[in-house]
Amino acid sequence: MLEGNSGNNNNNKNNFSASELKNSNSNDEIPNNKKKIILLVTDNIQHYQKQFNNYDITDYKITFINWSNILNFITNFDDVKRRNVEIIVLNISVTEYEKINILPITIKEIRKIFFYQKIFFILPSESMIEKVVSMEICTKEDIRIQPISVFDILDLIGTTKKKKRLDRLQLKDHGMSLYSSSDDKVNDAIRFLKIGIKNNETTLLLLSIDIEPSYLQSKMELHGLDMSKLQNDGLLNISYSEDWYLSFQKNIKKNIVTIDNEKVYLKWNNLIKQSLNNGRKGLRVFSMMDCFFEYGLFDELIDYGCIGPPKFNKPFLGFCAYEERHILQLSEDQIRKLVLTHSTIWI
Amino acid sequence: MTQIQDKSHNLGVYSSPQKKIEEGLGYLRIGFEEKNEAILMVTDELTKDEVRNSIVKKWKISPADETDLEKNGIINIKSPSEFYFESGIPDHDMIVKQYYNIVNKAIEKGKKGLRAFLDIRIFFERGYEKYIIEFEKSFLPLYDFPVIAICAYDLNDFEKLDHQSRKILFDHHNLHLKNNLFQNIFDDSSQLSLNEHICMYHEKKSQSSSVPITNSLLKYINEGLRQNQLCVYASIHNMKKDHPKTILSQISNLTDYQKEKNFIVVGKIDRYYISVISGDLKPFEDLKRQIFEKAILENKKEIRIVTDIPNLLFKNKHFDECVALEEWWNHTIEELNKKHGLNVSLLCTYHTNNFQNFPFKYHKYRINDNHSIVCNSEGIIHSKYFNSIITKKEERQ
Repeated sequence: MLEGNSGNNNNNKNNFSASELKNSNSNDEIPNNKKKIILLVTDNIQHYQKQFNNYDITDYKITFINWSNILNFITNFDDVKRRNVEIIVLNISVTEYEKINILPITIKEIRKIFFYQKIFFILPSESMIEKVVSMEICTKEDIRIQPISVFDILDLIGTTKKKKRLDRLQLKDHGMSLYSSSDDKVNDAIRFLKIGIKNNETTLLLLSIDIEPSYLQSKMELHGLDMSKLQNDGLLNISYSEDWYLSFQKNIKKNIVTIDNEKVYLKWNNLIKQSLNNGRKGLRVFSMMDCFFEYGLFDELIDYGCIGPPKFNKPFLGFCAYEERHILQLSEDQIRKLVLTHSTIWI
Repeated sequence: MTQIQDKSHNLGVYSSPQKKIEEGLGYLRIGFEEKNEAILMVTDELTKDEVRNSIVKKWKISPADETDLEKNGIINIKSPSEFYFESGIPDHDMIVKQYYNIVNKAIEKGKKGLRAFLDIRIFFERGYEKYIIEFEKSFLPLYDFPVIAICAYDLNDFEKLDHQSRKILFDHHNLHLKNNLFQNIFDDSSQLSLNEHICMYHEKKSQSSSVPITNSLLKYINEGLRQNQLCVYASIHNMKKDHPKTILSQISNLTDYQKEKNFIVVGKIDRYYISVISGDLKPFEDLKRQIFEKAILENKKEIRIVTDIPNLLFKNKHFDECVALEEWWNHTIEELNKKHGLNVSLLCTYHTNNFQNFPFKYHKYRINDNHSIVCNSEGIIHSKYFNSIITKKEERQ
């Protein structure tokens, strides 16, 4: 598993008397020289070698590089090996502020050789995350905090294979996510729409009342989307959440706001039918949920099960966008109910 | 019930109102029919008329006789608000005085003493948790007057008490009727039916702890092997070169041949983890097929599986993938049972340390919801899930 070690990794198996079930690929053992490579750049090679040598990673081997040797090492990497490199892990120890400051230059050099490989950063503390992210060389998701174990390396491998979160949503899913700003919400709504266009699904965007159509249109233009054309082609519908979900009745004394479930379900069903009749695969909805909080209707929404089931039995994908500040107002029990009515949850 | 002594102050903890009422009335009936005792029922789980009807129906006395017995102070039915909160707030002396009055009246009528069942729930409902602990503290485990009492606590309330309060309750009651609620489910394998999907939370001792085996987990595997079941160990720690050997060395009283036949260590476990993150459950489908083939080959009908892969997914915030895997296991357990008659019990171990903070604590609900039993490392069942377990067991019986 580990380059530069004795190669007796499997000896212990001779002493092992119980059955061993291997997975489907057990017969296609990958020879050591064909295994994918993880480059671990660290000044603490001995420590990690000693630790990782106790484990078997089936399809990968870890190659250790000292920071001082990194540029020389990767330049001399032969082509076959270079193609096998899948992940580069940069481990920065506590006192290496200088190393952090020159990270953008180092990354630029690494990128000359490794164009597409995923690069992860192991930092000594949480407090350094912002600094590294501000260098625009990675996102928060690419950062881990020390100490790391072989299980963290395993997780980095898995993470590189994971689809982006909005890409993971499918028809029949019921997802929810928290947002801290309207901008983030709108950006995700547009990504959501783009995936819908690619999948030949109709998209319905249900907006918070504070989002102006002109703002949405300009944002879409930045993503190369023509809002009017998409609407004319039947690929996009836009409405305000409060118009979609809420019923307003005027009484002598006060205005009464309610959720008319039957009416809402009827609207969903009509739009799903319309989408299918137009030759689309189904309906995907990005729904900003602010109006329920603005009108104090969240108890009703949760307690009467208006949110819907965690999985739909129709070609319908529901995605609920909540504001962080609203979720913080909920009781434990309300959050529990909310969580249990969604199948995909990003909080 | 037969262990309850005369003049004793006893503690009862109940998982549901039904259990509480059923046991309370049964206990009072013994006093009334066999011990010549007057009875006192304090509860609001049933109305007074409902209590009367239950007594008439089950104790084989006529409604008229029951009315007479109440008039004569032999049968006493009180609501908690009138018994404890007569003046709006609980008054220790007034409660004790009422108690003495009922006892004295019973003795006057030729009874040996009083047998009382006292529902405590109202103290928790009205925010008097501290008061009830102080109140209980004023009584010793044995009374100096002819009363036998059970103080009946709901499990949900009991669990809200801190360690010190519980200790006071244990110290000041003679017998603790815990109704198996605090028993280690791994101590008695008959409690663990097959086709269960168990979630066991345990504390991770230290970051460097490389052997995540708790005693309960070992008991669970050992018991399966003792019953000649097929046991499958799908731990992420199988990646560690000496881990399988360590596990085997901790499993007792088995020959190598028995281990070979009955105990399976899942190899190349890293591939399972990597696949599930990318939404691919194929390795698990293959594992299901291989377990099935092994079960057929070795003529096994019962299978126990232990896994901690969901725990690592959860720790690394792959929440949806973790839930998807747990749901897959649920379908698999059901499928192997319905299609092939195999009984599969799965034990998933999770570190409690992973559940404390945002956002982990919110996803805990999803994990719990996908298991039929949720317990701690000592096998003690989480109360919220106890009712569903009882219902399931009753359905099976």
